[in-house]
Amino acid sequence: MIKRRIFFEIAAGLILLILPLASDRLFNAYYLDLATRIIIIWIALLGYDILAGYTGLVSFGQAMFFGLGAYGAAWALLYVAPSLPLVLLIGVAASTTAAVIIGYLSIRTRGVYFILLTLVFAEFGYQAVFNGGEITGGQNGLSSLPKAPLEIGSIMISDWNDPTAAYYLAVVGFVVAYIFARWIVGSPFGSTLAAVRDNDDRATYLGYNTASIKRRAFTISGMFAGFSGALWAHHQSYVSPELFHWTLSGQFLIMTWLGGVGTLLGPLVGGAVFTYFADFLSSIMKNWLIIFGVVYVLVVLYAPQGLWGTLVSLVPRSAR
Amino acid sequence: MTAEAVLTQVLNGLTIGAVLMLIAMGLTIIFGLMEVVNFAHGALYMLGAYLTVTVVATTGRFWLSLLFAPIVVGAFALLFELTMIRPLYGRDPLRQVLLTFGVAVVLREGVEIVWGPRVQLLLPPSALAGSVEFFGVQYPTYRLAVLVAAFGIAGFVWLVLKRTNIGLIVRSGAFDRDMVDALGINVRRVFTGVFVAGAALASLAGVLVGPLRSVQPDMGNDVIVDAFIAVIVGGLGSLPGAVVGALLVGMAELMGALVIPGMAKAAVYIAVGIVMIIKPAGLFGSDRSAGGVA
Repeated sequence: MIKRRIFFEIAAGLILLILPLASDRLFNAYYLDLATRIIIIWIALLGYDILAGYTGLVSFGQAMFFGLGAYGAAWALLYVAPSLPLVLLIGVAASTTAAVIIGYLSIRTRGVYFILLTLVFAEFGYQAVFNGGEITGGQNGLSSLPKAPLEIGSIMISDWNDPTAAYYLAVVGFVVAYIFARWIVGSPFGSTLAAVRDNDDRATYLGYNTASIKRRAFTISGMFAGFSGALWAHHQSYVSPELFHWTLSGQFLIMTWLGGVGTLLGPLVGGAVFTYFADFLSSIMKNWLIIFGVVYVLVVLYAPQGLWGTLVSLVPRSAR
Repeated sequence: MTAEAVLTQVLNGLTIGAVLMLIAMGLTIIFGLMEVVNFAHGALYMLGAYLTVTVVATTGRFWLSLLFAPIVVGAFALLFELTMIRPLYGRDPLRQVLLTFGVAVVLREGVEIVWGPRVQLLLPPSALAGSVEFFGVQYPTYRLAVLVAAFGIAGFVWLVLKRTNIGLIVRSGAFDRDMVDALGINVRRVFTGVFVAGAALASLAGVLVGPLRSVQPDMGNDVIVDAFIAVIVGGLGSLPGAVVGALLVGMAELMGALVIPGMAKAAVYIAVGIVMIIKPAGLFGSDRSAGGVA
């Protein structure tokens, strides 16, 4: 089973690597940019799956960490220096710090209470950014952010406006995030996450500090979201308060469940399907989200393992 | 600031809080009994406001919507509960919460498709137009009427819960639903009834709020956050908690606007933060309602 998965992962990785070769030949160059955005969102979804799928903690506050990563990156680009490592570092540091604090406050509660608390904290972030005046750009956000230069050593080659370079930057970020996420869920720590998800009380009686385990999972997922947000801000050169809104957390949730929660690969499928069709549908109708709403409701009702999970379950067990 | 201005603001805060109270009460009763947090509750409130727009546009009678909106929204909630929530009982309660979120998304987009994205204006019924003198303050008649109506409805719900057999069943169901079931009462039917009643309450809040605030497709998404804050502060599953929480949120929002203009919500969030640090289960909540506080 594991061998099959690694084979699949390597094949998918190779496709990601050669995709730009087909750009402008097999498909319009616009779709390379769409793919870049999908891959950046994937990073946030990996973190979300570690929290919601592997630890069983559904958060409605993920947008806040994504938004903080994005605004952190934007501030770094505007006020510190347009340096890529610095931008990513500041973005991730901002979201991780927030995740530690909010995790500490909300993990004292369970189940539905946890969902509501994360939503309320994220909404606080939204209000703060929305009313933040010049620092956050208020309702309009911060636009025309500079791009970091693209250098090898200290020789500047180009900047990250080049679509192929931007694409590979996202791929590198994603591969690093994916390997890290795989390592986490496969590690002994990953097993304790599943123990907490499946039976919190039993894990406590076995001597695990479940609150601390949950807090760590929460922080890790915030870190992923921040990394994704920082790359997003750098790629789009634009941030707005919408990145903090709880409905964006809801979209992360829809993508994750659509694909199949708790599999790492499932949310990636969900994210790609959602982002691709959102892009396509929004060009022909204003209220495209209603289609995903209906599909999502059907998935929750009839196919809780999601698109990917359903697909995998069709493959005979012996062949997996 | 003059005493009159303060009184006006206090009344404004109470009005917002009173409408929120109707939403929060439904949320908390549904949770107490069924352990479902209904994310679509804000969408049902929005539906109530939009149905009022249609009733006023076609008949010109605002009063009709007080009957029409709860019936239509109640019927929708009945279908929603029977076809979607009921099949998921006995499984992970989380799935029901995820489901209600999906329904909220569909309703929000659906309303925009049917009624359009623009802000709809509703005028108060002509009998309640104008203003009255209230302790030396000129205050809009309609706002006072909303205040009275909301407290009247809340009082009625309270009486039903505390003084009738149905209320007894609902309260004991929230305490131990298996025991109530074992005593020969069809708990599933009680669930359905409570869900429909909660939806009707939310739609009534929508009707009342129509002439006060702008009717637009995001009103449900906005109000649900306030309602969540109210039940968190009050304690999820607690009826007095919902009342106190909603009034606190309404007042805090208005007072916050007075102290720091543009940061109306800051006071609300500071209040939530303090409550969460001191008593994570909420002011009136038991540890059970917080799902066991670790």
